[in-house]
Order: sequence, then C-alpha cells, then structure tokens
Amino acid sequence: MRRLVPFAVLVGAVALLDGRLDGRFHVRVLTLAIVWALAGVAWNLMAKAGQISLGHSAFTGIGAYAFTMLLRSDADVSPWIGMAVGMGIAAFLALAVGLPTFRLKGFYFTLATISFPLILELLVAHNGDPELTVPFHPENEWRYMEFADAHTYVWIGLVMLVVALAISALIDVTSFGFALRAIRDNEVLARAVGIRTVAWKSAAFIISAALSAAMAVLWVKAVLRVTVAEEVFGITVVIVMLSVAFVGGVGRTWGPVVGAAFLIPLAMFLDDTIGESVPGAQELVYAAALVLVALLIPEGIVPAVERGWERLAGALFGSSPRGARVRGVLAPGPRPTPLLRIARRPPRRRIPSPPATPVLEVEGVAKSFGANQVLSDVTFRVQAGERLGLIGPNGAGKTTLFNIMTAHLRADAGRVLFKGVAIDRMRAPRRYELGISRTFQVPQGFHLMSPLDNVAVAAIGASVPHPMKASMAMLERVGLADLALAELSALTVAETKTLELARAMVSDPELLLLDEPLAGLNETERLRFFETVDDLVDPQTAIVVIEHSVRSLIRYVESVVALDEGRIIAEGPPEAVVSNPQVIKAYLGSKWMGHARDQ
Amino acid sequence: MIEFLQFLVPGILIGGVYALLASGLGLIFGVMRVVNFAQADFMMLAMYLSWAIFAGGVGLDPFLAAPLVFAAFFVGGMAVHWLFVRHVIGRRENHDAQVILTIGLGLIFQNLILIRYSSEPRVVAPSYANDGDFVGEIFISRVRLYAFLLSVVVAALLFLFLNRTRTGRAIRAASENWEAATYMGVDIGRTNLIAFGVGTALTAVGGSALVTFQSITPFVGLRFVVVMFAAVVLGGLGSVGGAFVGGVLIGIIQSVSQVWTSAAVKNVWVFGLFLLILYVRPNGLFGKVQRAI
Amino acid sequence: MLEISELSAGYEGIPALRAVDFKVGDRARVAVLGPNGAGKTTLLKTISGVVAPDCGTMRLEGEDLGKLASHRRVEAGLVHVPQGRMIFASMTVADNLRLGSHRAAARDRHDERRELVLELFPALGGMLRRDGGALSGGQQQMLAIARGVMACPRLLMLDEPSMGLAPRASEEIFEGIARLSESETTAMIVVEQRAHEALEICERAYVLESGEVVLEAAAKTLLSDERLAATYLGSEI
Repeated sequence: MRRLVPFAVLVGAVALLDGRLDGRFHVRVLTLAIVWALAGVAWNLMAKAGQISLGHSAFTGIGAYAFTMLLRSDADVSPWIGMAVGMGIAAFLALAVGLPTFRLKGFYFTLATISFPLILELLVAHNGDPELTVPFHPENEWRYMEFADAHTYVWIGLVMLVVALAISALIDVTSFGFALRAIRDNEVLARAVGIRTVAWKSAAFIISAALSAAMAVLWVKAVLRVTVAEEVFGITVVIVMLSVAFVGGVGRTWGPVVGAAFLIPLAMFLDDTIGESVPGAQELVYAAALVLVALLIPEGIVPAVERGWERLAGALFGSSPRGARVRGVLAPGPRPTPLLRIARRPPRRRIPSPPATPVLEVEGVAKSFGANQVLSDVTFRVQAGERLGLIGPNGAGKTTLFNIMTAHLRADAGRVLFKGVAIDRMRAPRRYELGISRTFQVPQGFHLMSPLDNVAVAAIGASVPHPMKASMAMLERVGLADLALAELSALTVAETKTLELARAMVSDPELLLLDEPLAGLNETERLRFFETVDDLVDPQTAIVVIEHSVRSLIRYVESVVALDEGRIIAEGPPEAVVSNPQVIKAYLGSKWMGHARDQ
Repeated sequence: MIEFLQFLVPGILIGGVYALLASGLGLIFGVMRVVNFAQADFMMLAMYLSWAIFAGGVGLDPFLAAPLVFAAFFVGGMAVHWLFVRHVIGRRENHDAQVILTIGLGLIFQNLILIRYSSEPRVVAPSYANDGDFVGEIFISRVRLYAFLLSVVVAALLFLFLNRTRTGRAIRAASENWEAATYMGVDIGRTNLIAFGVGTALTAVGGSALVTFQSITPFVGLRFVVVMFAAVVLGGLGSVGGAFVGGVLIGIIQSVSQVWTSAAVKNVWVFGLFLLILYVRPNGLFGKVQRAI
Repeated sequence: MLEISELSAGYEGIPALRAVDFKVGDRARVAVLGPNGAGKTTLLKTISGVVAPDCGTMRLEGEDLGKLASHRRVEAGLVHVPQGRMIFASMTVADNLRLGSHRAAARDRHDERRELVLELFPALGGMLRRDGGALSGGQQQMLAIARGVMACPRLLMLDEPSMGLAPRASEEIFEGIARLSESETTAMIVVEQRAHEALEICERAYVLESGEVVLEAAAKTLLSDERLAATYLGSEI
C-alpha cells in the first residue's frame, strides 16, 4: 500500500493544478513538466543498471518521425498506432545499439550512445525532411489525438506517466530490479552470483527506448505541433532527461518526477520573463543543475531526503521508522518485499555425475605474462567432499591459478573441468548455475543493498525457490539475522566474511572456491570461520581454499598442493607438505635449509 | 586516382587539426581518467577568442595569435580543473558525476556565449583566406595548409614536453601508473592540474587552427565532439600518440568518403566508424579487447 | 631515524596492521619478515602515505609524517620500491631512471647516481634505450631498485625484492643490494619472504604475523630461531 501513496499524491497534485490553471502558458508548463518527467522516468530505467545513455534522443526522434510519417502517409494512420510502431522500432534499435557494448567493461555504452542520434538526424535531414508538419485533423479528436482543450493533453500525459512509473516501480520490487541494482552496484560480483547481466541490461534498454518514443508523440502533439529533426533528435532532449533524472535521483523511480517538478517550471518561467534578452536562460538552468548536482549531491534529491529523514527518525525514535533492529543507518533503497518472479527459469540443471568423476580437475595448466612464465603444467584433482588447500609464497602463481579456475583469466595451455565438463571458458553466470560458488580475496559486496538483499541476489541468480525466505534462513544459520537490514559498511570484517560465505552457500554449491578467506581475521575468528563453513556445507561439497596463513589452513584441509615459481612442488597430506624441504625452501629461502642442517 | 588524391590531401590536412583537438582530450583522459564532454566547448571558446583578437581591433592573425590562445587556455583549463573537475576525480568509479559535470560545464559555456554574442555565425577571414596553390592537379588551400603546419608544430612541442621535461615525464608516469609515480615523489594533484591545463590548451589551439575556414557559433562544438571522441577511441583511450594517429585517420576517412557519398553525410561515416570501433576494438586499433567473463 | 608507534591501518575495512611499534635507527638496515598477508606491505605503504593509517604516529627524525602528502615524504628522503616492481613499462630504462631523480634533492645528481646504479646492476647498462616492459622479471626488479636509489634516499624501503624471481635472478638482486649497503650509508627496510637472504644483509629484524609484531631481534639470533619458521609454516622443523 505504501507504494501507492506517491501515485495518489501525484494524481492529486496534477488534478489540483489542472483545475486552477487556465492560462495557456500555465497549462503548457504543466504539460511539459509531465512530458519531461515521463522522459526522465524512461531514461532512468537504464540508469537503474548504472548505464548512462547520452543517446536517448535517437528514440524520441524515431517516435516523433514514425508517427508523423505514418499520419502523413496515404494510409492516414492514427497517432496512437503510430506511437506503437515507433515504440517497436525504438525497442529494436535499442537492442542493436546496446547489445555489442553490454559485455564490455567501462563506460563504452555511454560513448556508443553519443553517435546514434547524430547519425539518424543527419540521415533524416539529408534523405528525408528536416521538418515535417503534423496534419491538422480537428474533426476527430480521439482518432487523431487532436484535442481542442489543452487540459486533455495533461490528463493523457498523466496516464502515460503513471503507467511508466508503475512499470518502473514494478521493476524495483521484482528480480528484474534486484538484477539491475546488482549490476549497477558491482557487475563482476553480479555475474559471479548468476545474474545474466547482458540480458537484463538489454531488457531495461528496450523498455526505456520504447517509453521514450511514446513520450515523443505526446510532446509533438501537445506542444511542438511540428516534427523538427533538430529538435526531436537534438541533444537538448538528452540534457533535459539527464537533468531531471540526476536532480531527482539517478536510477530512482520517483526521482525524475521530483526533478521535473523543480526544473521545468523554473526554466520555463525564466524563459518567459527574460528569454527575450537572455536567449540561453532555459539551458542555463539545466546546466547549472547538472553542475551543482555533480558537485554537491551526486545521488540526487530523493535519496538525500530519504537518508536525512531516516537519520532524523533514527535520532527521534531511537530506531528506524520501520522498527527494524539495525546497527548504523538503514541501507538506502527499496526494502525487500515479496518477490514477483518475472523471469521463471527451470531450477538449475546440475550435471549428473558418473561415479568417481572428480568434482574439479586441473589439467596441465600453463600461463605466462610476457616473458614471465607464471604457471607451468599444473595438474591436480579434487574429489567430492574433499577439502584442498593451495599454498605457496608470494608470487608463486596461486592467484593466477585461482583466476584461471574462476575463468577471470585464460590459460595458455591446459584445461579446467568441473565434473568432466570444461569450465575454463564458461561465463560466470553459467558456472554459478552449474553449482560453483566463490568468495573474493577482497570481500565483494553490493554496497547499496542490505546484507539480506546481498544474499537474495545470489539466491535469485541460482533460481532458488522463495529467495527472500531462503536468504533470511541462511542469515539465521550464520548468525547475521540481526544485521539483515543494516548498512553493509556497518559490518565488522568477520561479519563481512561470513556474509560472503552465506552468499556463496545459498545456492547449495557442489564446489566452493575460497580466495584467502582468513585475511584480516584474528585467531579466534579464523577458527570460527571454518566452523561456519563446516556447518553450512553438504558432506559432498568439494572445497578449494587459497590461503596465506598456512598455520591456520593446515588444521582444516585434508590435502595440500604447494606451488612455487608456478609449479607444483609438493602435494599430499598437510603435515607431509609443510615438512617437505622444497616447501620450506620456497617459503624461507634457499639458504635456510643448509642453515637448519648446520644447527 | 586524381579524384581520390583530391580528397586525400585535404583529408590529411584537416586530420592534422583533428589530431590536435583530440590530443587534448586523450591527454586528460590518460592522466586522470576523466572523459571531458566539455572539451569541444573549450575549442568553441578558443575560436571566439581568436575571432575577438582578429576582429576586435587588434587584428592579429589567428595563426600568430595561437600562442596567446594557448597561454590563456592553459590558465583557464587549470582554473576549471581547480574549481570543478578535481572534486569529481579520485573517487573510484565516479563516472556519473564526471559525465554530468562536464556536460553541464560545456552547456554553460555555450549559453553564456549565446547570451553575449547571439547565435549569429562569425567568420575570421584573413586576406589570404581564399588563396591556394595547385600541386599538379591538386588544389591546396593556404589556410588549411597553415592549420596543418600549426598542428605539426604543436605536436612536436607536445612530444618534446612529454619526453624531455621533468613535468612532462611526470605526467607520462602518472598516466601509466599513478601509484608508482607517487613513489617517485610526483605530486599527483599537480600533474592533474597541469595536464588539464595543457589538454585544454591543445584543443584550444586546434580551435585557432580551424577558425579561418570554419564559421563560429556557440554550438559549433557539437559538430566536433564525436570527431574528437572517434579519434581518441580509434587510437586507444588514454594514448596521446594514438589520438594523433586517430585524428589524422578520421580526417582522411571523412574527406575521402566524399568520393562515394555527398559531403552532407560525410560525418555519418565518422560516427559509424566510431561505433564500429567501440563494438569490435573498444581499446583502439592497437589495444587489447577486454570483455566481462 | 624512523619511529612508529601504535600504528594501525587496513584496506577497504580489513585491518592489516594492529598497533605496530617499529623503529629504524640511523644508517640501520632492518628486515621485516613474516608470511604472506602478515601486513608487511601495508606497513611500507602506510609509511609512504599510499595507505592512510587508522591511528598511531609516524615520525621521521622527529617530524610527524602523518601531516605530509606522499610526494612530500619522498622529498623528505623516504623512498619506496614497491612490491611487483611497478616500473613504467612504456618508458625506456633511461626515462625510468630519470623519474627516479624526480626528487628535488636528487635532480642535480642524476648523472653521478646513474653511474652508481649501473655499477650496482651492470646488467642494466646495455639496456638504457629499451622499454621497461621488454625487460625480464629480474631485470625489471633491478630497474625498480635502481630507480629508487636514483632518488638519493635517506631511508630506502624494498618490498619483496625477490618475489616471483628464479633463484639465480634473486641472487643477483641480493648481490646488488649487498653492494649498495657497502657503498651507501642510507638506512634500509627490507621486506622479504626469503628470510635468510634478508637476514644476511640486515642487522635487526621484525617478524609480523596477522598484522602484529610477534618477534623483534637481532638478525643473527633470528637466523637460528625456530619460531620464525613456525610463523611461516605452522609446524616445528
């Protein structure tokens, strides 16, 4: 119910304003505020995944041109149908534009989006018409979206805005929204817990593009009245979208509504009063807003207000508004709600294993960086239920080997098999689905989410039934239930490491890869950590641990592989390996052995 | 063949100017990993400054005024860095703030100029503006030749600065590995400041070179923004040398495309090529492709 | 010369140093030993200002280091040769050395220092025009140390100079360091895994484990201390 309150406020506010305003100019301001709020909501869908588009004017341009050309054609197509066609074309184009960049690291998506509207504008202006008049059809208001009463456009815009907001709000509470927030927060981790990042980004981009095309039809019909390439494909479209979204709150459903409510009236009243003498006044409002937001509140007004309110409430009532037991401030962002599972996938297909197939086989792996041979001919196996420790001095190649096992690096030679299936080139989400979980050397987390949501993302990635329930149960098992809604940064190191473990275990993996799990823990915490692992794993789960602290490790594992200079120098039971002269030499230096013998 | 050369030669000449424009963007990205969307507006401002110096009574030829423009924008760039940009770098993965800050700054420059000088196109026409020489059958415009030569001279000076001076070497070191540069005693805040000033000034001189054959409006930067990005991405993000090569290639492609398609859509080729590079070789012609696993 | 007390520091919230007391006397050579992940590198990075301490004080000849930015500490004579070498791969060996002389006090002594480092590591002599990235691992390590020596350090900090090197290359490195300690009077901190090699060139040693100093002794006595091996491998030898 709480989620419906802002919708009621929005409709009420528009109704109130619409009833009082009668001057043409005021109605125009209200209409444009709605149009740009709609545009901002559409743009923000992509920003939910942390993707900044500078090319949304390609979609508004397509929307405007599609409906105008169809309306002008002999077929005399209604703008409503034209709108649908434009949305379809925009969605298709979005997929074509976005897909190639969605697998690249960095901000290539942002760069790629710059040139699309420019190409389209040039082609349209050169081969078509830089300016198309929209035929005037007063005879049938609804068929031609041609209303004599300007207030009607306000209401049509409001309906479209509410639909867009509903889509955005719905995304927030489903696994779709979880996936997008996870991608924005930490893409590498999102992939490691089974989130299909490319698919989710594409889906968000398609919806975002289609809504932008729809917005353009309303914009042209209600305000512009003529389709001008320079305007509908123009950079100003992007600037206004950016401003309303960033001022309100980037990625936040209600952000653009707040941003538009502030900026559009301000810009238009300035333009109305001093626009004659100061031609760029409107643009200066947007520009100043962008600069100020970047320097002062990069997260935007909505999250800043939310945060402030929660601090205040915490101070006044001694707890968060919703009475959760929390240490630190409540994590911002939507609270976990019952998930509507919109992407139903069949439960994960595990590989049926023929008896006696090792869970993990590393076969003849070699790797060099330039002239440095980092690994040569590394071969070992891990059976179901076995715990294997991987040790070696700094620079021995442990981390490189781990990165090859987790497919972050590609080996020059050799293979890595999971239950007989090659996994060294498999993408992270797929490996996770097969039943391989990992932790990270520097603990990774979704910092914009609560610990509960951190685990829930992993549960969603593994298609665990009832992910929220399963995640809460997991937190109870590891003793973090009290901190389920805390802010991630309020956790101690030991709690962070335990959370990593909970996240890795919620999918019930068959192979668990632990990357230096003990770093930063003291002696008691180290013992507790391994107790927690034992408590969580199935007896059949194989575990591989890379660890610096040999002393703590050998008490836990059943077998050890020791690396030095990229080769296996010893393997077997822990006591045998650590008393192996080669291993001592590798750790303490070649002269140590001779010295020890002299004693 | 002659027709091809008739487009190739002007392509190389204008490509030299693009190289200069792009080198500033590449330097700034290389040193502080900031994609500066206001870069093309520094070019626009420099064009207005050249115009003001030429038309505003002093009458100084824009090619001769280039050192003045360089100095003014070196200082101006450092001021912009100190007032604004330094606040959004260093925070890890803070691209959002960098993108909107630089877009906002560019927009402010455009509209302040619009308010002061209106949108009426301004032209800088020195007496030799329409002169040129035939080399064989190929016509070489005097102003474009001078623009190219100016770019070559500035490129050579930049090369000397980066390789032969203490500050230049510190900038190269910081752009390769800021942590290692810190261990050498390099003041990263200072190299960022100077690199931003130099990067701004390089693009500004590119504006001086353009001004004799490109009319000036407050929004002229928009026409060059993608050209600059295309050059930088083609040569590999962050490599100043790469940006030079990229700039020349973009000039050639843009010009030679007119053999097949009309001049009005020559930029479609540039934009299309830009996308193609982003898709297939995102780290530039000479870089490695990195994909998420 | 360097006096550190109660120093705690960490990365991304993970504590790596807990209340460490540490001293380097004038012209002293101090080894810092301990297994991987003990906090040795964090100690050096905190001294050179790349990692900010959570609490504690650091004084270089009485002057509070906490107030100095990292480049100022280099100007004060604290020179750090980082783990993993971090040479400038796209720059020539000669330019790498030139960057070593970036420190104001070293600028005018570039030529003289270059002669010195080429004596320490003769192998670099023939490679001045080569790009740093084209050198082998051992040569890169030599370059990294040489680059540090160029700065005329008052206190030189070497982080794992033998890491990832084959025995022969690592021997060459230690020979160079030994030559350096003969010809120069600079103080030195050597962080090493290979305990014996480090103890041979140092007078005192600290052993770190899990971010705490567990042993502090003269190098000679540590050479025969079984507790050292136990901190590495957790077993009696």
